[in-house]
Amino acid sequence: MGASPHEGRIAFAAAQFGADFPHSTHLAKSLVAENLEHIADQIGHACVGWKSPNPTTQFFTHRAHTSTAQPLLIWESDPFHVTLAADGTPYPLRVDAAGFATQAQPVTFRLVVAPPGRSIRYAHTPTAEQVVDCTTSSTSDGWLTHGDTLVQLSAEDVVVGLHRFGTIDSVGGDPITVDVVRATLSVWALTSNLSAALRLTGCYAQEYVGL
Amino acid sequence: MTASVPLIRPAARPRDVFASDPVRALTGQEAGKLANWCLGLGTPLIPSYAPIVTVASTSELLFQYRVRPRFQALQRLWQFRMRAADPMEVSIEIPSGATGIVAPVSDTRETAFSFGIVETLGSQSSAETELTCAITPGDTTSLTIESISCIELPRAFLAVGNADLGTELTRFVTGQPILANLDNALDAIADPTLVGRRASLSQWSVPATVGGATSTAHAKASVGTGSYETIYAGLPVLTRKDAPTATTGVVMCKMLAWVTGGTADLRLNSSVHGPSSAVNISNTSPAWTANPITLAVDCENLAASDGRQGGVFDRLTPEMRKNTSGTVRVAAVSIWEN
Repeated sequence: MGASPHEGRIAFAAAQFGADFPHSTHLAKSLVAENLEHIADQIGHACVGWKSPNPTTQFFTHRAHTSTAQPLLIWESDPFHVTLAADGTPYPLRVDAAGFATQAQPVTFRLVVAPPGRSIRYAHTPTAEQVVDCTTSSTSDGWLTHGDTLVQLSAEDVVVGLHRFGTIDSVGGDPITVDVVRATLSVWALTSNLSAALRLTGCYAQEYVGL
Repeated sequence: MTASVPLIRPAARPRDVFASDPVRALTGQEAGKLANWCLGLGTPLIPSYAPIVTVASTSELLFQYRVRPRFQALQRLWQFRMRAADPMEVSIEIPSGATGIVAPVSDTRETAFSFGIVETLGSQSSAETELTCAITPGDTTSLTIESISCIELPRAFLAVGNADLGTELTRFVTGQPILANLDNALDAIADPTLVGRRASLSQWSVPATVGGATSTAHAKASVGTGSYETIYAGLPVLTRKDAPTATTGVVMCKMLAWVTGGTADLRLNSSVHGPSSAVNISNTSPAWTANPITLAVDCENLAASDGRQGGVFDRLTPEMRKNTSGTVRVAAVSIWEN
């Protein structure tokens, strides 16, 4: 359920409302406020998205496992900017991953969203809201099956991920600063058999306002 | 000017509006804040993607992308994550042909990092355009480019008098007309291409030009069989939802492609909605498709916990087909919202 009861944008022609037009309750509520809330609901970013065109030869893998309990980093995205809801919580991320195992043994691709430098903390915490596990035993490439599709940063992550950028106030203008919250999506490898390795061939993450 | 852009999403407060009461200036101001936030937030132009390009030479690698940026952007943050067999340096030009910036490259995944470069724009525009970057390895150490991305930096505040469409927040005072101050916001709300549009849904690009000359080393190729072949398989896609009853949204796609002779067809294929109409090409050197490929795909479902329609991903597969003997090659696929 979106913030607007219409769950959509109510179309209208802006030209019909001149500067001296009375600000009616219909205009204020449905056309302005609720439309803006819907636009904001739908503004989540496409943060990560790729699929290898040659999955048998172009993939990411990891160092050799020495323990079945140790997650190993396969791939990490560039930091992206996180959208914050009205209560300060970050929009959740809808995620997906593709890959396969080198042997028909259960392996787990662990997707983790975290501020830059903190993903290893959640890589060891499978029940965290920042984590989605995708388990497979297939040696054929494909998008992986996983029950959960959403990961989300915590309030603490928002604080840690806050970053101040220097920018400009207009084209050729003066210096000014803006704040953003940054995070990465990383993929970690866990295996049930030390001789079975993981091959990552795709990854996806897009923000969604959630219910 | 204080058409400021907040970090946290403001609330437009539609429940403050009652049929029996006058609309307050404060309500208008809160709506103005939310409009500024939506307009000034910035958006990814190149969502982080893995080129998985591995080279062991010093030839320049040219990456090309097609995007429809947002007018409000003044600067873009490019980021590159690379790994080499041994520590090395590369030179990065943004756009291609600009002065190169030297970036270090680590030799382990655990120490790899995203090297950032800020590109400052000389003018503002929302017109479809090509973005380029060029990476030149410093030596012949084996180098893998693991991620490239580009994000519009958010604005601190917007201009009121131009296509920034900023709302001046200090003019919402008791006794003053509200609608005059919300004029820009109304223009933005009424045209879905002006606010909230995702500049890119996905980008994939590998070098079609290496060392200044056309290269076939990295592009995806298909020889003439008359059947469509996958460029890459099934990347999830969801557009934003516009009308209240909408279940689909339109994506636009252009590809950087060429043939060895004859013609080829390029299209998108949705796992839910089937294939698009094809765009036909006959150029024998790399070029963007002149006309966009368009396709209706799933839009977000706001009643679903994860936004998917029917609990499944709509998966988008770009496809190519060589109509006669010879080869078609595709080096980039750019997809954005209409």
